[in-house]
Amino acid sequence: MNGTKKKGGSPRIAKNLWGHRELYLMMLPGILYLLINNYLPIGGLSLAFKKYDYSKGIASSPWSGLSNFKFLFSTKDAGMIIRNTLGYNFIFILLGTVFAIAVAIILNEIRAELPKKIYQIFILIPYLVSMVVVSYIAFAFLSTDNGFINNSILHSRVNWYMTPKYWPYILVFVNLWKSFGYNSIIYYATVIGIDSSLYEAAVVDGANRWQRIWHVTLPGLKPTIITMTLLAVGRIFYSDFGLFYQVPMNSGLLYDVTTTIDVYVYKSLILLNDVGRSAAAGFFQSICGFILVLTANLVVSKIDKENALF
Amino acid sequence: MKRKIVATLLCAAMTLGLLAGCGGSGDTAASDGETAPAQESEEQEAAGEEAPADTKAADAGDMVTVSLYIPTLAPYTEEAITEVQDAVNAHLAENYGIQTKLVYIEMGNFEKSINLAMTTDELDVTCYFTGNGQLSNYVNNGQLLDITDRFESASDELKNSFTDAEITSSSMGGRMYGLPRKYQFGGQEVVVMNQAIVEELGIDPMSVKDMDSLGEVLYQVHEAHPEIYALVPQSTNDMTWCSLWIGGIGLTSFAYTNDIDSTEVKSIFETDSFREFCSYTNKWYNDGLIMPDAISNTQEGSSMVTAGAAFACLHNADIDPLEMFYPNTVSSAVLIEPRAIPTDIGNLQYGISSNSAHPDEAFTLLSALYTDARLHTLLSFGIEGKHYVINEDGRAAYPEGMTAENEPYGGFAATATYPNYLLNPVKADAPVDDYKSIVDEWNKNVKVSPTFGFFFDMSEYGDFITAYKNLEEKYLHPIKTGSVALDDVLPSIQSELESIGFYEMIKKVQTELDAYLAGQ
Repeated sequence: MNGTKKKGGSPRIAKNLWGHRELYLMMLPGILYLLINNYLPIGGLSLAFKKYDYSKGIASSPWSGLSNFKFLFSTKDAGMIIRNTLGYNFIFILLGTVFAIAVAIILNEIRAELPKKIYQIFILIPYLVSMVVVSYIAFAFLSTDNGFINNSILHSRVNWYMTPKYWPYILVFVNLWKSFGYNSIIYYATVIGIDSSLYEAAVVDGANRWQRIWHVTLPGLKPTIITMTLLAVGRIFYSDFGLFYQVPMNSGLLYDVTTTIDVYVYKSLILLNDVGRSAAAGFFQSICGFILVLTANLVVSKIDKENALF
Repeated sequence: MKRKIVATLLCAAMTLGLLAGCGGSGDTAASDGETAPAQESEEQEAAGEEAPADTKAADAGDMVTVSLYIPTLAPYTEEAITEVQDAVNAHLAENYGIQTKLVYIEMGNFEKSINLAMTTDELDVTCYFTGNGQLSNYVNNGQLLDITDRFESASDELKNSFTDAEITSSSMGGRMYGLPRKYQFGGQEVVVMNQAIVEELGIDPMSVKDMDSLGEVLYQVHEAHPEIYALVPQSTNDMTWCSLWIGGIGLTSFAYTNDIDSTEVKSIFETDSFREFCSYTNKWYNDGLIMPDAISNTQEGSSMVTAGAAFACLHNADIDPLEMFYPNTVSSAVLIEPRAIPTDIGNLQYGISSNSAHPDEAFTLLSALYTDARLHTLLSFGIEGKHYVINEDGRAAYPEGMTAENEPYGGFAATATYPNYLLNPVKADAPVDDYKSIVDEWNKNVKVSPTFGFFFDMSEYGDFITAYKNLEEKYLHPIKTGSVALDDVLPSIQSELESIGFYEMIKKVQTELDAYLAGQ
């Protein structure tokens, strides 16, 4: 049987292509987009291993081995930068997921349509606000002299932008505030797609609201949670530049808790115009993210094969 | 069948639409020696630049078009840029046989934009800044064309336009990479004060001549007006741009000397003049004279003083009186006499990208910008009668009803960004009749650091530079604004300097500097 399949492989593929030509034609723009925007630039990764000379271009610039990677690891701040990047992302994934699921479930429990729509709009607005604007909103709260918190709540002069110990909490709060609306809508879309007969059956069995959430909603959300988490894990070596650079107003005294890989690379690029180093950093982030996604997916497939991505 | 045809046509349209956005970014028309303004306009639009639309330059036939990148310090409309570009091209066609494409980019994005444009052949001639020692980056990265030979065989008029100091400022390793803007260099430090409060409290501005006398006035103002800041940073979180300590030694960002005469390089945090300055600001900060949010400030000090939200800020000044720029202010006596650090001279230059497809034509344009008064006035002021007028006394002014706010071609307000301001007619509100002689006089008398001309090659020390700048940014402004006491953090700073290899590096700089000075 297999032999027959192999023998007739090419004609079958050609027949298949011709038979579904409209579908393949429809797919063509998307494929071209992916090729041009996502695959062609991969060639640029060679920059990570070159001493880029603007007058020679990428191809003719001399190879420099792994020297572009050194600047990320030879600095005494390497541990701090990687700790910040991974630490914040871990907290963002954990709290972001819990918070977004909670909001999605609460939204689902609201029966009145109009308030539900209004809440959805309001929780989505922060996601649409530019991080520069967010930084000024944060400043309006945290300004030593005129800030809302100092003047209306604490009635003291805490200099927030000079005190690193507050910033892990502030950054986590700002990130959650900005992203929970968008994430919760993704979970909410899954929740409303759960078969309503399951809820009806649970009600017939005498399940209360908590039990329905625990035994029907959360299991129904499991595939989405796994997918979203795996996608987030793939970007765990990246950070939101605006959040870590703009919101703390690039205050020097906060560098120990606000410098992530992206912020460090940005400063280096601005300082030296050396695109090789930033390409090396991007390469490092991608490779680490790729390995982590593979590992996480492997773990998921060992535990529950159905819910693994691949 | 109809549905299939429609689906096929839709797909074809989508595919073509996708590919239409993937056009080449190179200035192909210019490469072919032709102008194609419509295409250029489209490219500029895609790049998010202020782009002139079509031009009459299509009549220019086979002439080569070279692009000219200029930062904007004032608003320019597309229509005005097009009109000026047409007029400039008519002049260039008649006198030089070339054409230009004006590319104006907002100042905040300028450096990033030219870095990107320099990776292709779309940029020919560009303005660039060297105030933070960027020249060494441009040269080390192979971004700027070596123009030494072209300059040496250029006209005497061009060569005689530049002093030895100016040529040194645009050179590295004995080779020239650009031409500095013709202007005065260096600066002096004064205090800009709110005029209303000065008059109200009977303060003699000339009595403020050092940090002690400034302190006395600040305490007086703070007592009378506790509702405003007595002193604010000059710009964002930087307390002052002008200081007794000197930076930029060897075009590095980490080597400082204690004062303009010194040749002993050290960390800024270990210079006596920095320590003395910060002891004042720290006391003033603790006594409530300096704005508490100084390190996260995003405003210009002069704007706050003008608006009455602050009493004073330190400010670097030159030949133009600051009162001219900042209404409702008055300047103090000079706190620091005119002096120039190594990165001051030629801190704005014009050069040619090493990827330019037409380096000869680019040099023709570059040299014309420094020697052709008609061309420079046209480029910087715009079209006479439309963007500016010449009064009976021969001075230039805005046309009636026009101001810096509504004039469509911003060059009149932003002449400092053009190559040779001294070629232009004097403006009606200028405090002098002859800028050239005043500028020459200033440049002759300004005190220049003996380290000027010394260059320390940093091309192999990128990792160190990144680590050092992070360290400096972490501590410099908090200490300079007085928010943090230098003595409280100096042990940590010294330990961090040690760990990044700062002291070995500073020794190398000192050795090379000593050798350079011995050879002078």
